[in-house]
Amino acid sequence: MASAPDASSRSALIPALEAVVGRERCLSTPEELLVYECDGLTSHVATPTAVVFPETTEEVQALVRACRTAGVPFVPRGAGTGLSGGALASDDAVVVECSRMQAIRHIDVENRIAVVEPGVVNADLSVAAKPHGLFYAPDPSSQLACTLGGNVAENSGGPHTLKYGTTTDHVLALELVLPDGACITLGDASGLAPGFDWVGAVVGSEGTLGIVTAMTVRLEPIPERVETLLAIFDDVVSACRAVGRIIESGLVPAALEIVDQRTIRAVEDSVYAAGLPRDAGAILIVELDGPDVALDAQIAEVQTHCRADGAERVEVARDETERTQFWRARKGAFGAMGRLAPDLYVHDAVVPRTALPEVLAKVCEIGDRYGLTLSNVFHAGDGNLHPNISFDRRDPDEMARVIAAGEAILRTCVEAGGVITGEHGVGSEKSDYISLVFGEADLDAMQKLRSVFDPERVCNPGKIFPTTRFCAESNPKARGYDRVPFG
Amino acid sequence: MSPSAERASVSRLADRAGARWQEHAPVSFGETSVAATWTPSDADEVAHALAASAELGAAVLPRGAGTQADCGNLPERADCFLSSAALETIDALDASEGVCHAGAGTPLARLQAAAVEAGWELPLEDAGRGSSLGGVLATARLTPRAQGFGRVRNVVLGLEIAHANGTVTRCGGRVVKNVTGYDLAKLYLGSLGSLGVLCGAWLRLRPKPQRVVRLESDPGTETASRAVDWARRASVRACAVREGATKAGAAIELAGDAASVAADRDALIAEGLQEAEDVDLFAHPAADGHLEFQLSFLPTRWPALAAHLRDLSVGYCAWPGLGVLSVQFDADAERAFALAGEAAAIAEGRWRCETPSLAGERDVFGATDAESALGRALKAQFDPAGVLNPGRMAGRL
Repeated sequence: MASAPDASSRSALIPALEAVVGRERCLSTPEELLVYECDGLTSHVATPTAVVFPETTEEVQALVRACRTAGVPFVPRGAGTGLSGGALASDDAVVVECSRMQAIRHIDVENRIAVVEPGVVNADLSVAAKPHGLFYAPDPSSQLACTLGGNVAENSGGPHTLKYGTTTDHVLALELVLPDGACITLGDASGLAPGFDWVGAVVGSEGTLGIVTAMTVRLEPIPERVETLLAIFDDVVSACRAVGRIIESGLVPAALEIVDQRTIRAVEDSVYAAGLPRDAGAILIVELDGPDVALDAQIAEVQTHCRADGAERVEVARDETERTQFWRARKGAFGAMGRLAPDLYVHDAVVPRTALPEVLAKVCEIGDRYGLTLSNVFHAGDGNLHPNISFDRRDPDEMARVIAAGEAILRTCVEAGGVITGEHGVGSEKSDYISLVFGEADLDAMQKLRSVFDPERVCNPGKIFPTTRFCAESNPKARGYDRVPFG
Repeated sequence: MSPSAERASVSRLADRAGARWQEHAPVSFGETSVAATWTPSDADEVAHALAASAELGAAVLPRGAGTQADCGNLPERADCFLSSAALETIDALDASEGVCHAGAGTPLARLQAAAVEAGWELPLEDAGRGSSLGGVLATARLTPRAQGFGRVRNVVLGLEIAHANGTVTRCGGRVVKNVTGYDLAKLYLGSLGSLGVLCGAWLRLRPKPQRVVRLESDPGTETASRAVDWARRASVRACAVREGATKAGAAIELAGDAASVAADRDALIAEGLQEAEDVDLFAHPAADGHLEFQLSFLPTRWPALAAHLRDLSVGYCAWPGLGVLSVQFDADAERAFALAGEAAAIAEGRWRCETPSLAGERDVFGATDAESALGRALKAQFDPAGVLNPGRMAGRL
């Protein structure tokens, strides 16, 4: 751990930060800091010492050095859309907000790569690449807001990762400011730097190994043809079975998304209404993309599989407008939940795909048992669940039930052979639950990697690894749960 | 270490290994020769062997089928092989999920056959070397079908690793999407057993293609310039281009759904390629005394790189869809490394020497200072006593 700073070095910190970025780009008054007390996980709150907005790699280096001199930890932050409290300013950290580093420095059309800064919004890169017939594949549902730097930190996924993979499959090289202020480049544009796969180790490390200041990413050619299907089922189990048939048949759709009845009704009651039947048990969205010649046969095959599991209707979007409408049911789900309650807890866990029906039934039962409004929207193709709990954090009793239900859901998923997060990260939200998946020696190996980059634990402290500073009630081990065996 | 101290450390290791120890004719790696093999019965015993080696100041050379000795630098020292032969299991193959779990000692061919029998395909290959799964993962070599299969790093979901501190750890898992903790698997893959010994792995399988078609083109100067476009067609799983003394030309394998394969086949035949029963996608082994390098390149640098190698009258085998080529130089080490550096500069890529026995004192990875410094820190964390394959990894770790 970093040594505790003395009062004089701490009081000198704000002027030191302002000396690097100026007053304009350094927030330090209580009302300014209020906005940065949490990310998308609104139930975890911590006030940062300051929030700084660097615009260059050199400024990031100078800010990191100023924090080190003062003995104050720092936390990289993008758009704050993260859902696991990864950008929480634990230990009075300084938030290094990278949203002003938003240049798309270079799109190399022939080599299908782009060099970008961490503050570039995910969707903006695809918009910029579109005239060249290219796009950036990882597409988190927050892609209109989230930044590529945040995507690298979390190894973000999205609906289309079933076919295209997650962020780690698309990052070739990184420029990284280390926790001692030095700047290094890892990987290269060819994606084949010999030796250790440092880029692979840094992607998904949740901002604990340094601050990414630039990245080289791979772009994909826009597929010749995209077709979106919407199948309507009586219940979620039938929809899951259809997904099983599709995967086992050897098809690799770009996306396989299921939305349950509770979500359908919330969507239909909201501005996102997509004209879905309110009595449908579940809908399955299947997106196919690829060469024009391949898709007719694939559409027919998907329709056959869906009907075999009792789909009443399997519609193919007739045009872009209808395609957007189909996706609205999925992408508008979180927004629609805003009508139900002031807060939304978006859970994230993964189970082997074949365990989905059984696990979903248990998840709904857990929601009912705790008297909560719980609905499911999920990436069915890869078993990535997103149980959503609508709640009001001002009600302490309900808040406690949300936390208890969340823990019960995670335990259910791990017992089914799954893990506690598929794309949101461990962050501060699940740092005490990681022990459900990994034992002490496993976590010790991860700590060894951390020690290579951040021996003093000053870069995004309090994330990923179990701490003893959380209250005992939130620590599964404190309640005697044994580690669930792997595999 | 003096020869007598070395003998003493080997005999103490032999005592610890008991019945799992076997002496044999020495196998040489440059100055280092290994004349004994410890074959642990399971992952815990692998960890025990490593802890014993650390305690006795010994070094081990993890070994599967022994097919990857030319990968990485020559080992600086080794008291015995640590064999994965007893870790030969396929303990899960989930045909509905498309994932499997196998021990490191499992022959790749056996696992490939099991996947096919279950209706899937294992997206790993070894040029028919007879490698073990552990060897394929520890070296993480790029192979021609990686274009369609994805690289080794995309195939592995989870690993079990035995460490020099006597523990066995796990990372990743069996599910295809997972961000629980650091992605340590990426570091272990291709690390040549320098951080720990790979004991088992969860792997992602791929659907069997509906149709596979192979094509080849006659040699011609246009081949190199057009190959990048050929390689980028949707159903191309592998594309190799050869120039030089051996049969030149392009070899392409298409795989996927029947309609896409048929369309690409017709388009490529219209470009002058012909269908072939079988095609040669792999680079040929280096001729005696020649230094072989693998070079990465950006697609746009490919014509200039090909022209440069043609000017030097040097043959090569390239995989333009991956941006990699193998090249051999008939020159002394100093000259060959200089030529590799020149070619890499033209390619805007990196080089790696594939013939460590001819590299002398040079690091075959050509690691940068920053990479070497990080590598040293990583090695110090995972293997402070230098038990694991000392000297083989980038930066001579």
